[in-house]
Amino acid sequence: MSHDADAPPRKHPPDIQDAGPDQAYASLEAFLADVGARAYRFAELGLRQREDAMDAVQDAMIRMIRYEDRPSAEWTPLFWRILRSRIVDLQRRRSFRLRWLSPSVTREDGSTPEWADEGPGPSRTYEGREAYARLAQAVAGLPRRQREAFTLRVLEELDVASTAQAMGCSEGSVKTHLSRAREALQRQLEAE
Amino acid sequence: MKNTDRPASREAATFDDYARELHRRSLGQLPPAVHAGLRDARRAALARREGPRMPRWLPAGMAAAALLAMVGSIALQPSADGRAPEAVATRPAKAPGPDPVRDPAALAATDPELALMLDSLEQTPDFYLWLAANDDALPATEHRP
Repeated sequence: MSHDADAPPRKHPPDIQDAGPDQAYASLEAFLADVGARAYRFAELGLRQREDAMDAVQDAMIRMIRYEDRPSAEWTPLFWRILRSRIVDLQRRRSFRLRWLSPSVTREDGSTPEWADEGPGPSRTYEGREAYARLAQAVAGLPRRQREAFTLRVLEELDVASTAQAMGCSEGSVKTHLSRAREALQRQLEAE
Repeated sequence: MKNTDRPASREAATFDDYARELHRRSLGQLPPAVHAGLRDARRAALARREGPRMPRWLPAGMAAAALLAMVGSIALQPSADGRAPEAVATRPAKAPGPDPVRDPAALAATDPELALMLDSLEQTPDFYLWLAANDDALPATEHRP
């Protein structure tokens, strides 16, 4: 698959050179192509607004260019850290803007996740979309640190050290936030 | 308080797998418009990389050059009497001599041409006094045909 198409996630994209525990991407372009869709979903969960999510991803990609000279094994935690801080920044700006303009206005038009119309079948697509929408809504409702820990550690499958690096906290904090996130999500989803 | 990274139970592990699977499927269901947006974002980022890149040493080099220029301008600044420091140091000291304005006779003693010129002048002080008195009496608008 070419890099121009933002491919679905793959555990071992062909651009990854198998370099043992520290897997490395062949190029930054390959890395950005691989991480783009996942970054968008991550930003969508945090911002719940499509344009803001895309802006956050683009900003993170642009900032990643500065770190191209770093070893590619460092790119993953670096990118998630950049994206996370960009999302936090956008959340703060948005809350300030909305408070200033009109406290009653909400722009969370992305409360239902973006979903392609075509799929394996209309009913299966609908089921998958509904199931993900419920999960996304529950994850988006978590406190920020819990949401970040769950998304990075469980959905993105980063190891604890990389998650801690991306979140800018200790590994112990990651474990605590993740444990609380799991409990809250299970409780909420089982109640529905 | 639980402080573990691993799912505490099979139920939790199943939940993690379930969430991961939903997430994985959601990534395959992004609309084409989002894919296009991501492609544009990636190209925009990479286009910045391909632009002219400033060498890493350039800011430090520019700062050092500015500092050198500042130090140089201070060192070469003219002194209070308006002469450059080098000029003050290398110019020979002025030889003492007679002041031609205050003491023309002393200067004439060292210059034969000047002595001859002074001798040719009228030496009578009364003549100059008379000349000055008549200058005051003459009207400023005197017209001589």
